[in-house]
Amino acid sequence: MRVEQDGSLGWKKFWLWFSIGSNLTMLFMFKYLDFALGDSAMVRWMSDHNATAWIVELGKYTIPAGISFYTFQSISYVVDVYRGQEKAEHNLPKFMLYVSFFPQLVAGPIERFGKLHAQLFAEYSPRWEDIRNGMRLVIYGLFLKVAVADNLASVVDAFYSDHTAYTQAEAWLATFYFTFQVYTDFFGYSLLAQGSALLFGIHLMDNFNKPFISKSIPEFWQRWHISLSTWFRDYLFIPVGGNKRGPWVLAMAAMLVFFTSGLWHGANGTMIAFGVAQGLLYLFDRFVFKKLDFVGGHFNDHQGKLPLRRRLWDGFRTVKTGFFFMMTLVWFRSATMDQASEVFGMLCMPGYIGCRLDGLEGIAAPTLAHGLQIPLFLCIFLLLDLWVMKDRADVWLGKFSMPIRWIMYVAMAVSIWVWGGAINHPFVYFQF
Amino acid sequence: MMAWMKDIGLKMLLRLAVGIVVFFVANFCYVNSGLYLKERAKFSPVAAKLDSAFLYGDVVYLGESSNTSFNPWTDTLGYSVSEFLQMYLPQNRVRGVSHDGYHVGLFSQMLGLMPEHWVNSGRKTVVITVNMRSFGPSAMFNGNEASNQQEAIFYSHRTALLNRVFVSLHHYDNRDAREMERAKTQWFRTKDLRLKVVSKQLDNHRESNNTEGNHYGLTNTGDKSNSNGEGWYSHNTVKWWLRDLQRQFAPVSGDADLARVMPMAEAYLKEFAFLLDDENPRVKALKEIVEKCKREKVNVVFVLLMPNFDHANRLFGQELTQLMSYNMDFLRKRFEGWEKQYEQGDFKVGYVDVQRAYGDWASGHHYTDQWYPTEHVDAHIRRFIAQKTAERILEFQYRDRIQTGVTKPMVPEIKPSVNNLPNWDIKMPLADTCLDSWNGFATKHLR
Repeated sequence: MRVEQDGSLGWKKFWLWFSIGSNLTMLFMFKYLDFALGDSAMVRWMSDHNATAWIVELGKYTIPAGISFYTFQSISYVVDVYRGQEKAEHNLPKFMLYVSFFPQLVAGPIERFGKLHAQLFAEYSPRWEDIRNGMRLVIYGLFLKVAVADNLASVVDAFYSDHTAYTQAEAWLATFYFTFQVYTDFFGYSLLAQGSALLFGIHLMDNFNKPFISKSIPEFWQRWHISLSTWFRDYLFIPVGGNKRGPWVLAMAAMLVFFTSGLWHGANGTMIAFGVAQGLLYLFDRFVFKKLDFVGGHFNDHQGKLPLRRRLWDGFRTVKTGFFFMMTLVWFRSATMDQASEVFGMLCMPGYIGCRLDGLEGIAAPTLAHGLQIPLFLCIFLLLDLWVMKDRADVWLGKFSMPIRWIMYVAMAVSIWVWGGAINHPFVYFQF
Repeated sequence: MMAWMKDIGLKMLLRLAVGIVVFFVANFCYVNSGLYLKERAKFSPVAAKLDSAFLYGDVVYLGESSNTSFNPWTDTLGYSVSEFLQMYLPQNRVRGVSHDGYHVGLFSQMLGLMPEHWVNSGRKTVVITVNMRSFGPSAMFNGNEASNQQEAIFYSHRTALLNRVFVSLHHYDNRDAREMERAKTQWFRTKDLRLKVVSKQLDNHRESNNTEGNHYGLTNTGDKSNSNGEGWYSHNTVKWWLRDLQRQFAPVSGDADLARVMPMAEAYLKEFAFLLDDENPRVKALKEIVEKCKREKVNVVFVLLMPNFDHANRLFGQELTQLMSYNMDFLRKRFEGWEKQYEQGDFKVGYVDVQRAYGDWASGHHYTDQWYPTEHVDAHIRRFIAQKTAERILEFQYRDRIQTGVTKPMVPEIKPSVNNLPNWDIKMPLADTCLDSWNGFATKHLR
């Protein structure tokens, strides 16, 4: 309210930064303090003095669920008010409802105040269309999470629990599976959030838009975790320079965004490495790979069907983008930098066969448990996501006749009931 | 408002009805295709053993690892407690079901698989092993607990597909290792270890100059006391106790023997430094077991296992053993109460207090895990537990005239001098040698 009401620009700025600072301080205290202090002398001193030790232990033991998400949501509200794009909410409970609206509280999508607030306090009248579409999103979201992601997780977890015991081929398999585990896990959660909100007549934004058909990393990030990408674009990338002040400023801004994004994902070296790698790939695609576009031949929109050369080139770019993203996820999944280095070594070293032949004859080598349902569900999902579904799941399902639709509902329900992944694997993004 | 409710409500009900029909059709296919049995065996291997035990057994012994653990170096007689029990009860069919890390919370759920022919039979008995350590935070917030709870979904006669749905949707206490660690640490930081006593009791205790093992739940001769006569030791939480231990160890950390004992000392604190109360979920599980058995008229015998008081005492003296004794007494009081309450009638509760029946603490060398505070004991004590349990069961059966003749045990003789004394030539030495070094250290440094 101060940001909106104070007359002078100086005071407005002061309250803006005060608000952003207090939000970030809370985030820092809970999420990053432990990482920042490490095992320094200060920590040892603090742990010897009970009066202050709680500050260190705060982050270790009591990270509120979803703090990264609603901190960003609060910051976007204050900045929008400062910019005059939104009016300040004078009613505290209403503001709190905006921040803590349950379907998107723990893992997004990070909604903007203007869009969510208007819906939350509009007159409510249940519509069958909303409820029906909400249920469709929920069942498809559950299918993605329980039948696809959790099954993939059983293989990935087994590999990362003791990666040295496995072969190079299994390392590739686990890396490939993790790419789609994290996608279906988070996409599934986003659909569940959208579906649950829709049951109450609230429309949340789409968080994914077929990221694996992207031809470059910049395009990928326009399709992956859209609410976070657009947040960074509006509140960090553009304010620090964006793409209007030349290539150097753009490069710096992009690196800052991806570094911050990595840090946002988690307070450890692997997440920062993931962010920095994404930033470098972004710049590579934007400044280097773009120059190779002539390989695909000249093409304009009026030509109609794409020539074969262009289609092959686009296909190569799509595979390349997916491949690079998959490789950076090794950092995302690894517990430590050492583990990430070892997994990269396994993946890239020609002829790597793991340690299972190092004089361990007679000891049964572990193999990645691999039920038939895992590749089957993954193939079904890829088929749907990359080629078949042209719209969001609820709209797409609505296009079929009732018997076909119900066959699909039953198939999804039975997949969840009978072949759901048994390993307890919380939503990947809950940890952030 | 009513209009939309009518419209939407009807559509919802219709879909719900179709969903229920689909569910039961799927359940029919799931069971009759044999998939359920296959998955049950995969997710809950113990469930099939329980089925068999309840089907063929007169006495079912539900135990944890102490049932079967034996020391490969010193313990040449590898019979489990339940096998010894069968030898003591030749006229009964004894079936043992045991698994590492099981506890009364799981045993309570296992009773959900009791078949119909057990109900009201009046002659069936379940034996429940009670491990005091499993009531503490280290066991309760164990990283493996989620998989135990997943298995426990199948300890029930509910609709088969519903069990599988619960597995898919993780409908159980599914906290992962990190969350469990957080809960455990929270407990260590906040739970008060001070036993408050009234002045008269404290004075009585001081006058009698009691030694270990004889101060059941009332005493605390700690180094602090207030004007009300309440006394306590320096450490009010596990966290501070551990911190003190580490700080006091730091100046002498070069000693190899002490370096070996330190992890053991920490483990003893983490496993035994807690105080039981009525809110403890495992204490509540005990009550549930009694309620279930009472409902089904199945006799129950609790076997209160004997923790390694000897090593605990050599590590921390009375400060730790008094907490252990308090907890043991807490459980004893419950069992004695139930025993008395159900003395008459069709349903009976028995209890075997291994420690008291043994007379005193068993010497540390009877424990097969020398470096960790488990209740795994050698054949000598395993046989003793079986003997006392059998006596209790026979008492019930003679009273009900299920047994009338003389029961002649068929138990092999154990010669302690041959196979149950410590073998000092083994590669992994017993903890005693290092504990002697610890003794000097503790005298000098520990408060």
